[in-house]
Amino acid sequence: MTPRPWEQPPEGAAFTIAQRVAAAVPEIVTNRLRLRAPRLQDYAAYEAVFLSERAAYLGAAFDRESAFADFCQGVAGWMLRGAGMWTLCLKGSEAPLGWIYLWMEFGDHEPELGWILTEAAEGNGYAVEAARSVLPHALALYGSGGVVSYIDPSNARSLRLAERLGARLDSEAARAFDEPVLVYRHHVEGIAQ
Amino acid sequence: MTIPTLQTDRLTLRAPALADFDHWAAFFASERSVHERGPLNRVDAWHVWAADVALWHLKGYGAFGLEDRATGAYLGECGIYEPEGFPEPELGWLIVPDAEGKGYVTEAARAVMGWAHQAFGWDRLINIIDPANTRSIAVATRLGGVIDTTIPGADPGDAVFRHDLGAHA
Repeated sequence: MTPRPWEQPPEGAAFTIAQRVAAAVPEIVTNRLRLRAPRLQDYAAYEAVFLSERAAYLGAAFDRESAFADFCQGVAGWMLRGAGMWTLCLKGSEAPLGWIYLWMEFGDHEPELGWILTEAAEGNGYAVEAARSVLPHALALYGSGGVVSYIDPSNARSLRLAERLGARLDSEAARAFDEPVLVYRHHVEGIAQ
Repeated sequence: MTIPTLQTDRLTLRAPALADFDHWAAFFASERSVHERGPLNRVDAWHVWAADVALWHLKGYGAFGLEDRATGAYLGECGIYEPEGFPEPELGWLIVPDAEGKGYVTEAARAVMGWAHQAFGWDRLINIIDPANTRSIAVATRLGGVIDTTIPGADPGDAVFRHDLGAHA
């Protein structure tokens, strides 16, 4: 593989500035998991997920360039909107299990709570544990009902997760999109579940 | 957030902000962007710009928004860029149409070069310029840059200017 200098992590003073900027990302710890600021070392795993079948429910197909753009969009959110993408890890590990998003992708109508896991992390309840831990943060920022999850109607797994989070289907909001999408609206009652 | 703020005689160089994007998108919607891989539609412009912003978080350097010190008006961008496909960090800039021809880019770029040298100990920064972009070539030359054919560009035929940062410390 050709070297990709733009994916190489910084060193020295640049590393220090990067770390300080990344400190704007609130770290969230749950029973088993840690949600932390994304870093360039996470990107190889990100690209692997987005270039795989696992990204099939995310609209357009990804290539290397658009996967990197997506990763960067999640990072930039923290500086631009005070919310963005977390890398999800097991406590005590740096290896990504997936990513949790509290962001607005280009063209979104409202802030979105989203999630994606690596294949290896699937089936352990990590996504629901992580998404639930972000809900208080999301509702504090945007208010009860102020954050949604946009889900492909054929993505049964994510639909189930949204239900488990206590989110409610908003068919009115879905009509604003050209493509078929289900809009699940998150409410403060979801935190108690 | 600890992105530095730099001051020059006429300019404040500060962290990028969401409101800057409209200016960026307007530039990339216009023919003025033809030398910068444009024109781009708004969604593509967003992805390019968001990746530039993310550089601060991922790499510890990036582009500054330029403001008129006296009025606070947004004038453009200047700073360090390293988009996908670039061989190394690049000194870059963008100026809004009303602010062109006043030497703002030269003033901002000198501040950025001095900062990069001081903060990171870098000895050089490059400009990757479309050879048809006479305006940017003039700026690069005014800044003391020299064409260096040993450094790869990003697209075939790119002119690559090398700046010796020690000269701006």
